[in-house]
Amino acid sequence: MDLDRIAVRTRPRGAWEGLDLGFAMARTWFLPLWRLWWWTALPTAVICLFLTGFRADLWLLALWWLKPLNEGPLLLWASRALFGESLGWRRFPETWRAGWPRRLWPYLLWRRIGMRRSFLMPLTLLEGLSGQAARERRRVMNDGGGVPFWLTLVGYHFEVILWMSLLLAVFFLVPAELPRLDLVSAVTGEGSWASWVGVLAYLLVFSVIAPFYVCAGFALYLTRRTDLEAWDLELAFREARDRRSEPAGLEPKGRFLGLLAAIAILPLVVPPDVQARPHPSLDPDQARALIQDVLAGPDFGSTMETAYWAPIERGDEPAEDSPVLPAGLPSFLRLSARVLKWLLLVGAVGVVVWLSLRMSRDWRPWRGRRARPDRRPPSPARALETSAHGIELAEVPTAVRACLQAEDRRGALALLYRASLTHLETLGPPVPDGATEGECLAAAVRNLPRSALGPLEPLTRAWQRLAYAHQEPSLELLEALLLAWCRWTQDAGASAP
Amino acid sequence: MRQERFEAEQAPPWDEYQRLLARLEGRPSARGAPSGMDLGGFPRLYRQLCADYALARGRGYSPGLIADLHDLVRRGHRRLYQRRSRPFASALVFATDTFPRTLRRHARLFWMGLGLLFLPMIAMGLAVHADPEIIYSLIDSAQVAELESQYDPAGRKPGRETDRQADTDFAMFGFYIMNNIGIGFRGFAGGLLFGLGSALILVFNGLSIGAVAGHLTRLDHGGTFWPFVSGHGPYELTAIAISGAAGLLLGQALLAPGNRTRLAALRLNARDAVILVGGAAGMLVLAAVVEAFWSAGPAPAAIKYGVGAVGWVLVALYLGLAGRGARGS
Amino acid sequence: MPRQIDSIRFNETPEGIDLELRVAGPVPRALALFLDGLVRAGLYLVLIPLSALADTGVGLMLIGFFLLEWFYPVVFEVRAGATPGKRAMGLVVVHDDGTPVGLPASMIRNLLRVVDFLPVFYGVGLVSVLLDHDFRRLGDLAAGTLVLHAERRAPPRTIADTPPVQVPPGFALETQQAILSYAERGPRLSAARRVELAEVLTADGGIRGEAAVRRVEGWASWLARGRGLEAS
Repeated sequence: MDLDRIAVRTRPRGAWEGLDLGFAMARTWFLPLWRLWWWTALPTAVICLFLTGFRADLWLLALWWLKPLNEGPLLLWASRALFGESLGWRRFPETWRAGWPRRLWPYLLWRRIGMRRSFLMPLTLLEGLSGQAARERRRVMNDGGGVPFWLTLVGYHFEVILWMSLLLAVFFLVPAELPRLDLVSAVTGEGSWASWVGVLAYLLVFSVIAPFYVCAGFALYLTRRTDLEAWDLELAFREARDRRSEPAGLEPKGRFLGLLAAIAILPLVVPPDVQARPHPSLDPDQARALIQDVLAGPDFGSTMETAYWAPIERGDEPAEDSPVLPAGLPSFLRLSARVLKWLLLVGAVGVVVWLSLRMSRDWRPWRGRRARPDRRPPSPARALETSAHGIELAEVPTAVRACLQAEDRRGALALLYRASLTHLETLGPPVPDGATEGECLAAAVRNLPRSALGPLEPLTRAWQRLAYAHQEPSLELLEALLLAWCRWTQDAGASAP
Repeated sequence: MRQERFEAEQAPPWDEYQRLLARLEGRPSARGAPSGMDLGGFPRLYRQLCADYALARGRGYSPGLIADLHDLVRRGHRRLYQRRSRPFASALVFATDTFPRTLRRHARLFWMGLGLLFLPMIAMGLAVHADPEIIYSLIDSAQVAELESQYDPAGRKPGRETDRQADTDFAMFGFYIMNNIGIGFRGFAGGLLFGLGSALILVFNGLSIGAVAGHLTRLDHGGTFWPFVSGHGPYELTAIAISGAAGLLLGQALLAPGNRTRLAALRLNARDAVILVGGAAGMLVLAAVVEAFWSAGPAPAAIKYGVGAVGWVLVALYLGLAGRGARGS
Repeated sequence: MPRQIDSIRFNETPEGIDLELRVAGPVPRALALFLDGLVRAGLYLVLIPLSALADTGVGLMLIGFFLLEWFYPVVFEVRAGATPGKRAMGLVVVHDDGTPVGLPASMIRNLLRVVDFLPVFYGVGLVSVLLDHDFRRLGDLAAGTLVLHAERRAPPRTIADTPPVQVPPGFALETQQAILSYAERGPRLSAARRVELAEVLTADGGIRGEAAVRRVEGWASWLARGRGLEAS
């Protein structure tokens, strides 16, 4: 066995989630399952066709009754696919043989109308129990609530819905020039060709829903076993044991051979006998009483047959005869209608007026155009203007000192940096609009002699560290930068004509 | 670190988190909690919990603990990423801004919707006006007869006395709401059938309206018909065209998804389309008010025509100009 | 190995963790729809007597019908995350990133219900749900929403205070987790089954019966608490 290849995530799940897992499984494996269904159903269908004397309705009834026959192989296939093994064409005979054991007979007879078929079938087919043991096991497994029942019920409805949809689609999509499908005779079945279309459509729908139904029942079964018996833990433990006892190196090939050998045996999901039989130390009568007790408990109340099938009153039609209203009520109603009417009218006018006022307030194209914010990228030349201080270059040292006094290092450095950009602009090198700090520095280095750069480089680095890394410069560094900056601007001022 | 120690160390923040969570979820047991509880700390606790959950998974702690932590994370995620709804403010922005701008962004489809509605309408109106038989290919004779009697200028509609008018009007208002907005919504949903459903609904509505208008005009019932429809026509017809355009937007995503997958395009367009439908529904409510309480009213025809013309101007101004302000640019 | 089939989708949140989204399949959703149908039918029945109140009542009734037809799911989904029917089935509607559904998405998925309803009783929606990986109908696909199982009833968990036994080397992380899980879920299994499970791991070492259970629980205790030194 090869637990590594298990195709499904095993974990404890709620019953509804288990159901959904089954639908996911069926979607993944849909094509092989669907094909298998047809390969199984076609021979039966042909035989039944002769047996029922070519009567469409009887034929459909027979095929419907024989559904478990098609579901056995599907279930077997799914149980193998669970462990990553795909039974191909060639192994179909084998699948059929294993999928139709004699134990399946009850499902074609009295258990056919049971509403938990797909959930109980794994018990019969895969665990291979019979007689008393099977009965006990069914009872234990069955206590999980009404989900299998709902699965079957909803499954039937899915079939009907898909069937009706299919017929209607055929009805509407066939061009009017071709013979129109007579929906009434397709549904009621009066031996016309239309009724055969209806029956064949139903057969198609059977084939589509069957994989989902079987897989959902199977997944429910697995979920229930996970819940009752910690089946997932057993798998995990077995895998761990095998991995430990397995000599390294024999990995893939050895496992594959083991897998081949395991095919002849019952599928893996068969539990050891122990878990299926009552515990030996327990008296069966006592156990039965206990089970009855548990069954009677409120947790296992699976009697969900409520009044859901009452016809739904859509009630679109107003009452036929208007009852006589008490005196005064009509005039009151008329008054209230008038009040409502005027409220609505005034409300509508009010909303319109209010909205238009609101919009005319916001919408001022002649002013809006001018007030539009300047979207040009900031120019380094205007760095000092936009610094919100609006100070002259000569006042910068005082302002920086004031910032330093106030312990505002960030303000000081920002001011200094902007001022140096402004100064840089007077020195001449063109700095493109929207340039980054690094680009400004690079442009300066390119166009100016090294001596004329002044403190620009350490200043830029300090600013970048502060702006992007939030590393505040030390006070000494700021002082030094300020001094260097003063020298730089004075030099430039002296050399300038 | 072993699981038990981990659990013991992290227990205080987890407990704090659970308390906040219980308060956020409005459990009755939390009502008595001190009101000074700092909900501002919730995001930090949540992130911490996420880290703990990731640690627990990475370190292979017991599945039960992982599941419990995941449950806490899931509940917190639900609270933290909940959108706060401010219906009034967002409705205002929607009406003054979002809706008209979204519509202008899809102006091409809007014109297409208008075309699909109005071209068949005009063509059918002219055809019916010229040939009295054509209308019976579209509307059965019983309905035509009923229409004729309804708009017959000689006969008065039953139940038109002034003292009964208010509640009849109100019943009609309910009917218009249910019927017309339903048509609008269906016109939108039909777009999922590759745009065909919307186009069909637009064309079919156009044809029937055109047929009725042409027929009644030919019978000289225009004097009652045109004043009646002029009031609400601007809002109703435009809104139907807009919801059709929303449907076409869905169809466009399926037919011409561009550089996206069909599903991605559908999701993108659906987001805009539902805005269009919402706006159209608002216009249809307005149309229902006008239709029920004004159009059937006793005002002289000239005034009704005037109101209709003002309506068209208002709709055009609204759809063309609203939300063009500087605010949202 | 191909991806394992699972009923859970994982969505990575901005915090960098995988949030489990347990998508709900067609059967619970169909039942929820049916329950909603009942609730809605009940509300219709409540509205119908309004028509006795002459035309005013008819108007109110028609408006009520309109609201019920189009906005019943939207109102409940946006306010509470699920319609009453969905709540009864333990379902909840969310965006596909797991956040609670908002007004636009809810509007889209419920207006497009019309298409899912075609040709009869959600035929298109059913086909879409059966085909789609996450059981989404067309409205869900367009709106980017999922229907999830909401509540997880967490059973109480404790790891029994068995004297710790050192875990032998060679157990993978998954196996260690299975051992811990065994200790947590043990009390809910039958005694015989507990022995049987434990023996799978310990039989090679010749430990059987109750001793096997104690051994595996000891391992779990060791995994959770260490030798008892660390816990101090």
